[in-house]
Amino acid sequence: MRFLNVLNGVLLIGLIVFAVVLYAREQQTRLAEREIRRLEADIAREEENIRILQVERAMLMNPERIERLVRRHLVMAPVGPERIRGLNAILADLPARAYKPDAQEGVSDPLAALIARVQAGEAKR
Amino acid sequence: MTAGRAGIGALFTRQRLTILAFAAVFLVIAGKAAWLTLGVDPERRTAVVRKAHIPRPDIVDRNGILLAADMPFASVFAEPYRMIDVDEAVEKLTSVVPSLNAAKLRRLFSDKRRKFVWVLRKIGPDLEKRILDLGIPGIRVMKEKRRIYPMGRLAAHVVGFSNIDSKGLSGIERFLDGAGAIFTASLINPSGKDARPAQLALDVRVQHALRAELQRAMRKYKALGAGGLVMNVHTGEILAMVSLPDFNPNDPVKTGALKKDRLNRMTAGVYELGSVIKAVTFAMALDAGTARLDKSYDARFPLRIGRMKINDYHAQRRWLTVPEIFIHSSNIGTARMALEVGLERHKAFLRKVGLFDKLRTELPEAARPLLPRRWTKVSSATAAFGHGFAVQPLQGATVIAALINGGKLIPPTFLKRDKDAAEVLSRRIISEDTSRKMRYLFRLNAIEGTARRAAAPGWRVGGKTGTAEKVINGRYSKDHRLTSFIGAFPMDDPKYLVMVMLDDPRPTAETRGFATSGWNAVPTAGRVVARIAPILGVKPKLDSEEAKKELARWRKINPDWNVPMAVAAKGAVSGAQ
Repeated sequence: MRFLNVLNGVLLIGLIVFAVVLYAREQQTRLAEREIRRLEADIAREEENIRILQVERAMLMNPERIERLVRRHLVMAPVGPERIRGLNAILADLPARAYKPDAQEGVSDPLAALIARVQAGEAKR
Repeated sequence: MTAGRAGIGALFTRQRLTILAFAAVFLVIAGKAAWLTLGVDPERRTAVVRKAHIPRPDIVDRNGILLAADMPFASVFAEPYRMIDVDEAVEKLTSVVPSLNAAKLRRLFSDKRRKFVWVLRKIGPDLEKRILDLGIPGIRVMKEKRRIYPMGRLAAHVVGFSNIDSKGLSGIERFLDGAGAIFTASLINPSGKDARPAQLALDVRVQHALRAELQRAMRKYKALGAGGLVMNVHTGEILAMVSLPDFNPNDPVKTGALKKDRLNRMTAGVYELGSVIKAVTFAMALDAGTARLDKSYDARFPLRIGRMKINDYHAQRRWLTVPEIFIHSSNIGTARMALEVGLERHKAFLRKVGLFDKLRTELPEAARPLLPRRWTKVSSATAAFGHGFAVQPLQGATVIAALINGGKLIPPTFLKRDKDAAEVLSRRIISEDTSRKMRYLFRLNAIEGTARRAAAPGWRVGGKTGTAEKVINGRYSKDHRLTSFIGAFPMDDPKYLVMVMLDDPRPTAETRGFATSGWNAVPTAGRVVARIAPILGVKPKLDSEEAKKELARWRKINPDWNVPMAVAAKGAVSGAQ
């Protein structure tokens, strides 16, 4: 009888321990599941956001729209064939257009002068 | 100890009590374990309703730019009978979306008989989250997807459109559901959740250039409609296809997609292509060996066959060499060349190049050719210069591509394709040598023939013009025409074919009263080439004498070119858009 009582006691304690462990595990699982659901919802939302941005970007890239804007706001022209040149043709032209410091009287740096001119033009506008 | 003797008291001995207690505890544990393993989640009342949705692939151009996409959106609705505190609900909602009408919502929500009230439709995911975070009982969200065409009208006829149930009704959209269902299935990921995009051969930049120039031509020549395409002659890929007037696939019904004049002229309609078809006759005669480039034909008088009299539009009234017949577009000479080849061989050749059969591509809109009922001497002679039989314009372009690409007929496609795949599908129709001669004739025609005014300088355009009289009330009309041009560039090694077609262009002051192809379709095609050649990476060659002449001609025909757009738009240059 005494042996049985001890066994029962051990079993009872074991049972309580396992019940606690099981409950803790279950709780953990539940939290993890909730986290997964939250993350999945976040991912889905981000995917939707990406989708919307992709569509918006495509709308912004519509060449028709860009041409309309260019026509209204920019001073640009269609490229004619005389402006398309191979690298060799440009290289052949180079000596004639070589960089010559102090080429112009009173202007020491033509590049700086060019930048100044552009800035002056912008200021006027 | 028997049950009978011990009675009820015996049941409550300490031992039995203990056993019973244990049994109860084990039962609870067993039950719990069973619930944990087998038990189903208790029904969770979610706030989001998702509509089942089969993934529909996006459609992108050859560079991956979106042409059609499913866009998610959410709609918020209320179930007033589930609502606990109406005032709180309205207050919370208006705090997130101030534009909502509070009084109206309060009235709607207070009516507990109502099962369903829309609150907000088509909102983005951020706003959706903020509303769900409010946690109002009775406020729920429905997820939906809608097909969006970010490029709008740009490629309406190619991409097509689908209905609200995401079923393709026209164009590639219909192909994805119908004939291309296997292709579509191959795009869907094994997970079934999403799909890779369907990549078209189209290039939106080329498509835009073509559409813009066709629109300009329609305005300028007061045409009823226009059509055009750009095709890679070595792969059969269609880089651009436009048919005007068009519609907006985002709202097809309101923009008239179902109207008769909105059909895709390039595939869904058949037209007599007129003199463009002469090129086919030339290729046939040269390939058969009955004609040579140095051979001459009598074009002094109209050609009589029975009661039929064949005349020339640009009559020369003399013997013409084969290149002369080509550049003067002589009907008489071409008919003689065809008759020399013979009725049966002529018929067989047209069949071989596919002009007698319905051309099928991915687009479901495909028309059957209209052919003469009986193949006689007259029908052969008129078919030689493109009269009396009508085909899809795309069909004509496909054959011309074969005449210049080295002689191989390649079925055209709207899907991206590489050269090897095209090689497998290709079929030789004429010899390499005949193709070389055809290239010469096409280029010659652009230098000194009817296609002079293409003039895209340095890009070595070559092509053939066609002006067909429209059939109105069953008879050919002298005043209403269909003008077309099929050409390619650079002619010394053709890469891209350009076709332009104008429906009933009117003569204008600038065209000196002419309304034939050379005065409207040809210059339009020239502008298309000048716009797309730099995009497609074709390099101009300006060093030849021809090119210099072309440049001078070009500047005269296109005074708005090289003028900044903002200046041209203000009308500083006459003739500018």
